[in-house]
Amino acid sequence: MAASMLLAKSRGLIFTNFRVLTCQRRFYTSDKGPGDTADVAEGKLTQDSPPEAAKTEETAVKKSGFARAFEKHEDWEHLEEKLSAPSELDQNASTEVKDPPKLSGFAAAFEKHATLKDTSDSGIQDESFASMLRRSPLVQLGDVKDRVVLGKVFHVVESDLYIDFGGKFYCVCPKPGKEPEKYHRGVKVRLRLKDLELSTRFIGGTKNATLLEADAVLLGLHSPLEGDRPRQ
Amino acid sequence: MAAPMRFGTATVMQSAVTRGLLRSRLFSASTAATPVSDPVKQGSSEKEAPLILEKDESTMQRILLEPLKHPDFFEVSKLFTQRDLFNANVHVGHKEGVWDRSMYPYIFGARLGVHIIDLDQTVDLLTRALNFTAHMAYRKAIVLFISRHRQFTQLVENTAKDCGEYAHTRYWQGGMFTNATIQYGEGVRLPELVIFLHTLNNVFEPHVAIGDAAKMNIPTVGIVDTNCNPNLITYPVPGNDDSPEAVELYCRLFKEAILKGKAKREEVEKQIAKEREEKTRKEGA
Repeated sequence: MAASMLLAKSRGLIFTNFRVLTCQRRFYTSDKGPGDTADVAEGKLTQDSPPEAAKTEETAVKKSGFARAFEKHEDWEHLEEKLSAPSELDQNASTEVKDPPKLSGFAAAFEKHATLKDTSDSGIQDESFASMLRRSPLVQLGDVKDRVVLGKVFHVVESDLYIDFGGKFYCVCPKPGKEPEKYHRGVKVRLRLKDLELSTRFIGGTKNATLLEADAVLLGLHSPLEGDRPRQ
Repeated sequence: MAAPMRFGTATVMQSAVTRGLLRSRLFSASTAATPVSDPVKQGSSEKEAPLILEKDESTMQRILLEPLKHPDFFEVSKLFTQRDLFNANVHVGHKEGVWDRSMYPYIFGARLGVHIIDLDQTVDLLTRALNFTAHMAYRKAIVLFISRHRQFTQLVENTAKDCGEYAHTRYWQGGMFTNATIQYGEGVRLPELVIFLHTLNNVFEPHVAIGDAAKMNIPTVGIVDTNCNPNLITYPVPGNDDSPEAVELYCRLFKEAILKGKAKREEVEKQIAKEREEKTRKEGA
């Protein structure tokens, strides 16, 4: 339970502001900066910061129990590889140039973050379906009720907006009274999700009836902030 | 007919168009005796002399049996990866309460009330379906795309147009397959493959054409979501059929498979014609 929370938190670290990465310490063991508490999408997760996270590699104290499990977690292995060693592609391409100096701390994190969007697919090769599913934003979102996500308006019918937020279905919201002309096709909006699919049982039916629509409350336009929300 | 007229001129025109298309293929249907020349090819390639390949038993044997010797002759497994399916939300199913129990083998599990489809199985079944589609296209089959999901009507019709095949995304008249000879006249050629992008109709019941195709011995390929019944479909492909990313992916994959099959057929026929030419030249010289 705690491990999964940390996993989600580390993903939060990856996907949120640069403010967290200004510490000189190793990326995954840095303290939570002031920026994370403002991140609504992480919800309750940001409030808990287990003390084990502050332990760095430099301590000679032997770790046991949870701390050891934390260190040995498969995710951290991958992070270490990415942070410390230069990529294989660089080595193959430039045989004349010497190996670039090992990056660490902020420099490594910056390097990783800068190319994150390009390498997001080829991050872990031959990933199993179960693994992909576990790391997917939709699953990481957890219980969808009252989660804030980004959506994109893809269709407008008079005063209704059809918004796709990356789930199975789209949601339909009425155009707000304030600045209705700003909501047209292609606009990014913030939504508070209520349900991924409106389906319920009716008396006399064997299967539930479904509306093939999600349910969400329109919060407003998306102002260009740093970092995407988990589910864009 | 009274029934189609009620639904407006659009449906009547559409069914007339399908009827017309079904009929026009009759005259270019291949039989053993006459030489086959694709009318489309003749019209488009005016620069080079049209290839009229006279086919006898042995040539037909060679053309038709060669692809069957390879497990993935058209390399359809290279058209997509499991990651592509994942990114297109293919694994996301409906809520638990809406499921069809026949989908049990294809479901990975449920996450907070939402069924997740097992993509390992989907990859395997989708490659099989695409391989079959490519083989059918290679053998010059008529392919009919069916979908009754109104959000994707335009997409499915364009996909069919792009690969030179047919689509039916409107109200399905009862006897289109089973009563074809009376509704459309004698000698109508029915499709040899039916691809369902959406297995259900607008009232969440299985599409009539699934049963009808099975009755007429027409193989079917179908994308089945967690609320669909895969039992009568020859090549079911479990996957999400409600998200636009997923449906666009399927359309692209089926289109590419069909185009690959057709291209390979042209290539093989050209190859044989060239060999024949060289042979006659040698014999003449």
